Amino acid sequence: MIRRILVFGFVALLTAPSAFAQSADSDTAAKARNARAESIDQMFQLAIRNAGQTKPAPVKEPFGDVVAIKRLLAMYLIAAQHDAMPTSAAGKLIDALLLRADKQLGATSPSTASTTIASKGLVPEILGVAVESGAINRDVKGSTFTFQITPMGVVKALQGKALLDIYADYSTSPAARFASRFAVSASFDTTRGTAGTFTAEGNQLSAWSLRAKLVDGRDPADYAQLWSELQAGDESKAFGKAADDAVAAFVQWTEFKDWHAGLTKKVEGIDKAYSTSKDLKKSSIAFRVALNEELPKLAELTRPASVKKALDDYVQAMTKVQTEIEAIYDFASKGQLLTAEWLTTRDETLPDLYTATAIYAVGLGKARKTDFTLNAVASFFRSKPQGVDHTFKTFDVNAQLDHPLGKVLNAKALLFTIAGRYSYLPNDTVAPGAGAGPSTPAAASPALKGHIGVLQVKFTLPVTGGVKIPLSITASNRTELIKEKDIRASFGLTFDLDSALAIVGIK
Amino acid sequence: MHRIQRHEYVGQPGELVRIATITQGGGRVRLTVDGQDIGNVRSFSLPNAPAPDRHLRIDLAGPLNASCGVGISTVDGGTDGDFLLCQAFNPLPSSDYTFKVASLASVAAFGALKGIAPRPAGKKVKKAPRKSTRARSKAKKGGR
Repeated sequence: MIRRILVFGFVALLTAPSAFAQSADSDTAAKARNARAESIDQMFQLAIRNAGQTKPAPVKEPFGDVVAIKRLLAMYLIAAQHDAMPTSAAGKLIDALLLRADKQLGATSPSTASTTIASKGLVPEILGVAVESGAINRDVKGSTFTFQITPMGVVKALQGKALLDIYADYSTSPAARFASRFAVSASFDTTRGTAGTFTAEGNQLSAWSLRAKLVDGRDPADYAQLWSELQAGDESKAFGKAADDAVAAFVQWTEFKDWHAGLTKKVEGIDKAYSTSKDLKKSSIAFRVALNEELPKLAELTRPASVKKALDDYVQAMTKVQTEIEAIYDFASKGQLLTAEWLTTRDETLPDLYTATAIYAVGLGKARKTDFTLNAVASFFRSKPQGVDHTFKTFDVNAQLDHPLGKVLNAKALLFTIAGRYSYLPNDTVAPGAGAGPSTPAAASPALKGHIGVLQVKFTLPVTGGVKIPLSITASNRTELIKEKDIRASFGLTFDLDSALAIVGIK
Repeated sequence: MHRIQRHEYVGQPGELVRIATITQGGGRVRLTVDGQDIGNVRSFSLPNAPAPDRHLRIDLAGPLNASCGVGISTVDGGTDGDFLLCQAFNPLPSSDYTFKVASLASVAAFGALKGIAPRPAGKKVKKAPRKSTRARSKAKKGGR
């Protein structure tokens, strides 16, 4: 039965300073990138893939076929516009294209989380080399280093060391796709052992985990119907027409024709040499040199008004198509996902805690606007903690449903959340202290056995600048899992009534 | 059919053009001939008389790195290859092909210039009659 009265409180959260900072970092990363260099990289990648094709038939002129694609040359000019004027329509389009590519490829912006923590020993050195080669990712939060192995990162590192074919694209291979379902991570707490120094010794290993995706309905490649609909849709047709018009404008551009003839002749020589030698490395280097030499000359040519207009129309049409592509990716990202995780948490005062978690997440509804997450967690100690007869610690089931309610007057969309949690402690047990360190008492206060239920209903109002105002009501039969009381006691709130009323459209 | 230049071919009246497409990475391909979507069909015939060019367009849609390998046959006695790849700066790649029709003699002469003997359109090569299984095994055993 509910023994405590309902808890009611206003909390102002600056939530996503990390999320906002992350998105800001990603935005900055896209804008800071040299789009022309990216354009050349993509032409290079296409040439390599051309050369690698064997079925249904080899491509006779793998390098020449690339420079014959005038759309790619048009994109080089648009990339040049991005580099010159990032805030232009072309600049925004290129940023959006690069951001999407980064997300899809799982690329992360270079970590800005610097650390002043020194490192010492062979293992940190090896880990450092692995991070630099891209085989593993490193995240630093306070005094804790977390390393995560990514399969494609390992592939890229091996390619970098010429241990794998550097020109092969493994991302679509069945083995790579299977391996990408797994992730292994390890965390090291540098406050343990030699305090303030990362040594990667056993006592600094605070946690390790293995996560596996059992069901993955979020691969955009599995949404064939949506891609077909995109292809048959009006925006795609308009994009095709804009591309044809741009090509037609290029054909009429005398300076371009002369320049293109020169580039084509240069690349013909590369194709001819490749057809006899089959030395892909040598030919691809020559191809990149040719692109680096010739493409900047294209950007310097005086563009007729017809070409400028055609490029502007192309940017406009591609922007609309990109929006539709984003919608497919967003829809796919709400597909069902079932993951299992095994986490081992190592505490200095308690036996290792094993936690097995199963998480199911899915977007409900035709448009998948409602998010549903269900997870079940079982945790048990490796051996009996001091003063406790059993190793089994807890069993928890959590469920959460988030649904956007639409705009309230002039405010942004209100988010409705209902969440429930059930915990079962079969025995009195000890709870490892949060952020356990040398200061944690040898025997923490035991948690009493029993059933704990928590229900929360929350409305979240997003405000500008990444600030959100949640309003929640939480009910529980025990108070261990209610957080509002703690936050209410330690936060003050300053409220600008005029701004608040303006948000909801009241003057 | 013979290759004139990249994505441009000349064939005989009524010659059958076969297109092979192999998609990977979730790519969806659409083929249109003279603006008409031909669905899952992977062949079409050139006009029966020298006529305006026929145009084939192959469009690819899909997530990043989706691809489509293309083979056009029979070109110069073999298959002409092409490749489309969905990239960040080219999310909906497309290839256009032009098929010209010329008289039998013209195509043969062009082929001769390229050193290739043309196959008459629609004429099947007469194969030797296939022996029955029993006859084949008898021959293997030395006719016993």
